[in-house]
Amino acid sequence: MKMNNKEVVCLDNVSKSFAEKPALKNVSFGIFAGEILGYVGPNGAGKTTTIRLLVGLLRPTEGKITVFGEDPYLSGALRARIGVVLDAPGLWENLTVHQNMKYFSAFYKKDAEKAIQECLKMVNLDGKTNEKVNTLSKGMRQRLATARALVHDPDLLIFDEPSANLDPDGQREIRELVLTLSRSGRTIFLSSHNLPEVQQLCKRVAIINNGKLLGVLDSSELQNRNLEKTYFEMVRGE
Amino acid sequence: MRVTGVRVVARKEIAEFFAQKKNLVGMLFAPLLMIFIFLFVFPSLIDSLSKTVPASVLIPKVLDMYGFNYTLFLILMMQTALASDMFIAEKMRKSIEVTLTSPVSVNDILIGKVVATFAMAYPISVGSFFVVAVFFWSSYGLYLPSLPTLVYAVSVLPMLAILLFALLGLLQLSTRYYKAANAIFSFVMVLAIAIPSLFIKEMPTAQDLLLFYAVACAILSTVMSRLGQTLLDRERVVTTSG
Repeated sequence: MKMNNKEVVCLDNVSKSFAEKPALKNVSFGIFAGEILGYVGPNGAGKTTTIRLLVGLLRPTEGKITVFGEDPYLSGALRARIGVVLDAPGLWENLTVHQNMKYFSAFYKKDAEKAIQECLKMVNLDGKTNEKVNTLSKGMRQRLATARALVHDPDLLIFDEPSANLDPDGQREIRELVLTLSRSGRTIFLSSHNLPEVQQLCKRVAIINNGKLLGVLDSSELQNRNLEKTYFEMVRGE
Repeated sequence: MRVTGVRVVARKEIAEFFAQKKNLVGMLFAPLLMIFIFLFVFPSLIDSLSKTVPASVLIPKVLDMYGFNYTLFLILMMQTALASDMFIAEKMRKSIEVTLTSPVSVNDILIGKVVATFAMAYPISVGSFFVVAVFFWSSYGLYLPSLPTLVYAVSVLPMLAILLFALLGLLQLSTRYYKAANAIFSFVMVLAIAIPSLFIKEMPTAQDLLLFYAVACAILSTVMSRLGQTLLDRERVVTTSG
């Protein structure tokens, strides 16, 4: 796969196996600076494995991944440029909303109080700063995880099912947030089961099944075709 | 190792500890029980034993035993209790994965957690020893901590407690069998502390105990550095979570 100098993320023939069981097979795609790339596929297709590879939680068995030209598994400094909302919010349950933000942001910079307040306001949690996380609803936790991913002002945002636990209002807020972040120049990788949401937000969409990339639909294909129909054709016709 | 990362992890752990009252109760239970035994049960035993062994010989030996064995035992008990929240709960809730998406390394996380538990468990454990020592001194006027006990308390004991908890943390970070790791660790530690005393006919002197624990400390630090190089791996932590 050719490296494009506008690509901020590049997966080149990436495979990942767990105890000889393949989870990803020769996956290659790139993410261009400033775009929102959708990533869809059934449960167990390899979406979360891809995300864990992108944020440096896993290393590929074969192939190469670069994010801003660096290996995410090896570069600690690179991780300061990435914000991620994983499939599980992974919050510190016994701490308050503000403490969760404070300690996480402290891994990046000393005083982030202004950023904390801004991010909590962005996800409508500014009135809940002193509440303990274990008293929050699932939706609020998801929004807090989103605020936490933004607190260090990352260039690349990776979302794994950001609206999974949210009510329709919450889903709309997250969609608006994703668009706002995209307009501010950030690159966004959005993994989701919500196909209408993906079609609405993304300029390109990659479809994965059984660890294999089935294709990447570009903006003209997305405009002319129904994503849901195309998705089922590709996944079932594999 | 990044000092910032270690410091933030340690501060976060201490904040989480004090956010739950049950933690404080659980942490103080063992030292309070030990103080109770030494203050209310031991004096009657000493009174009966001192008919055969002079109290001036018996009490210093009893307190050396507390200083060397029980302080370590207490720290380990407290640290093992804390480990379930610090490592197991973090892995199960996957908050450790989120932490690892930041510039913090697995090393930073382990060291931060060790620093936090030690900062809480060490003063309580050593403090309980001094409560007992002061009580015996005021009651019998016979004993103040010996020099080897003091040297042990300020040098070897902290090292040993840190290394042992780091070993437990290392096991829990690198395996999905958390309960087994906890059980094996507790079992081996109790055996390591209890078995030598079964084979020693006479109670060892404070100098012998100091030497024994210093050697144990050196062996453990070698084992830890070897194990750490193999096991402290981001992927291993992630794939053994949940």
